[in-house]
Amino acid sequence: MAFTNLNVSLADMPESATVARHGVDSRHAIINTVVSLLFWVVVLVVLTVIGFVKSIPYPQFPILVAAVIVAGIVVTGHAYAAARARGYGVREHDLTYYSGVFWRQQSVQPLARVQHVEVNRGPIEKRAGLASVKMFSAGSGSATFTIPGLPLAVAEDLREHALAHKVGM
Amino acid sequence: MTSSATLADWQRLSAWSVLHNIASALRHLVNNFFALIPLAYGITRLPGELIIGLVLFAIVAAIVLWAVLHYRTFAYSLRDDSVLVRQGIVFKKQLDLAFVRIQNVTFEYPFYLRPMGLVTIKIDSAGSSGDEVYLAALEADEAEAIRKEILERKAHLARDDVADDAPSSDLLEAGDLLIDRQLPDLILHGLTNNRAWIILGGVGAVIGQGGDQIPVFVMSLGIDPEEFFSQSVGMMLLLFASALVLSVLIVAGLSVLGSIFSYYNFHLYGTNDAFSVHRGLLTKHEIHMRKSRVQTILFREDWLDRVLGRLNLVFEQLSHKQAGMMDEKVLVPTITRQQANELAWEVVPIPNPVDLDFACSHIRYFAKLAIVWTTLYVVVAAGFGLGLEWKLAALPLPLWATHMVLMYLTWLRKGIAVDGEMIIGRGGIIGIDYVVMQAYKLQGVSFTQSPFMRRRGLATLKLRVASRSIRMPFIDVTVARQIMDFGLLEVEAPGSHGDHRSWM
Repeated sequence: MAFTNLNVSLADMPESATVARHGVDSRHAIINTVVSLLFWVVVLVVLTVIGFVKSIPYPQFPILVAAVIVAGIVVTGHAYAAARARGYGVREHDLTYYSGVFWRQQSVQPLARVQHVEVNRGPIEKRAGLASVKMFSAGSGSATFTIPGLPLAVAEDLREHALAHKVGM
Repeated sequence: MTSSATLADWQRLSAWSVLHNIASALRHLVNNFFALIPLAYGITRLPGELIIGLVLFAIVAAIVLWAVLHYRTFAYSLRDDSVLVRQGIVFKKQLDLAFVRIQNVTFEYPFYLRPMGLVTIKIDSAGSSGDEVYLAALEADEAEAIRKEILERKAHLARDDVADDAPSSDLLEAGDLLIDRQLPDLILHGLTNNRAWIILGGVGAVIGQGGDQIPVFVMSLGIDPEEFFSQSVGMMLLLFASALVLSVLIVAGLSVLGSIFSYYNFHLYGTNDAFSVHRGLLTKHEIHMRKSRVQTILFREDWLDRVLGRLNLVFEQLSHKQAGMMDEKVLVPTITRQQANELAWEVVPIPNPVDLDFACSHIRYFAKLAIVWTTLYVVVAAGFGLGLEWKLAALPLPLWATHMVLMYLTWLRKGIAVDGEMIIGRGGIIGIDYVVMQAYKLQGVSFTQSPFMRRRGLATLKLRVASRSIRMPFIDVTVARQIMDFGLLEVEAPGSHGDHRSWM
């Protein structure tokens, strides 16, 4: 390729603030909420059974139950909000992952630096037809980010997109 | 001289490699010191000196036997695209180390092989951390032939893959002497950088473990601890002060020794595209590093370095979190700022980081930390005050004050600057650290905001390369976006050759 040193127009700059954001599948939020709720219901049932068997005295028992209910509502609410906050963006040269309820994070992974990509499906995700995409780059040894709750077709497209870039370079 | 045809066959190491195996077994034992304490204790409890002697003999015999068997079962071979290693006494395993993944080829001259003039080659791979291979006790010319073979084939593969502009033969030449370090420098290095851990290792922790034995020991000296502790406070303070001075002297002495052991006869050579380092007292290390592999350059100036006007320069490569191996970095100990700038210039053209204009962290970052930590201290103080005695509530106060001052200084140091294609991060508390990274080597970036930060137009930026990352909290959102987009452009836009520049 001939040497070029053209001026980069500002419109062509990779403006990270304007990456189009797609939310993850809405079923992801439902699954997270239901799983969290189930967990806390189990905790509540176990606590109640213990409470009756061991006959925990009056003021302590309702306080304990109330505390578990409050914790369950807070954690479940957070699980739902966190799932809704997750999103991704796809550009020609990078993938973006949005996450965080309070601390909103935008994480950008240039495709030229992707080492490998994993598409994972847990048993629940599989039933819902969803998958997670894990992006790895060099250095830390752990994944840069994992985008959960993607329809399988989208997950596979993302993987193809990332790997196609690697071949093209 | 070994030709490539024979290198492709399965080769055995020389019998002297048994020494290397014994040394590595001993190193394992030292590393697992704590796990062995119960065993050692158990041995001392055995009835009779004869049995203790027999058990110790059995352990030594087992190590020697293992070393011999390991030598007998070890074989290696240099194939077209990888180094194959066959080893294992009971469970045979074959390791396939692809040339493209080989990161470093290091020469070591351990003291037990030096009388025979033998060399141990250490081959590091860019894969997982436990994957390094030692070819122990090779003849010098044999070792040189293997290194040449590896580097040439590696360069050949690289040329086939992505056009690698670096001629491989350059790596084999020692190059020009860039800098060497004399004994006085190493003594300074030992004093300014606590290298005592090299020698102390687990010993300090052992003293801690045996702490409850100390009163017994004191009693055995004919001193009654109770009478001893009722002595006048002045006497106590004097004793305390002298003990403090003594322990500082001991630690400093050990640190200087550690520094001399590691960096004795330090020479750094450079060619157009590679460094080679020679250092070490008992075990001589010879480390080769490609300049293009340098991910970050660290200018580290501790508080004592500042007093003396010296600093350490570290060239950092791809790192795996678990392996804090020194060999993955090239540390140039205790040089002047002028020398540091000249050496850094060998890799990337950067101005003196001191002269740069740094974007600073907003005071709200300190405020946030101060509020969070103060709340924690108040809770602890309240716990002391209500739970024990109200006067005790003042106990955490000095700690709190020190913590606040240190946090303030940390906040003051935080800074980030962009110069040419370089991103420079500043950090430290009393000392100053500068981390220099080439923007096109970035692996990923992230941008974080809480609602409060969004309202104030602030953001936390994190830039990650393969060796480390720069985290810049609470900077102006437009500055954060500019740096982030600049970094992404450098990574994603084709370089001057029209292709993507490799980060390796």
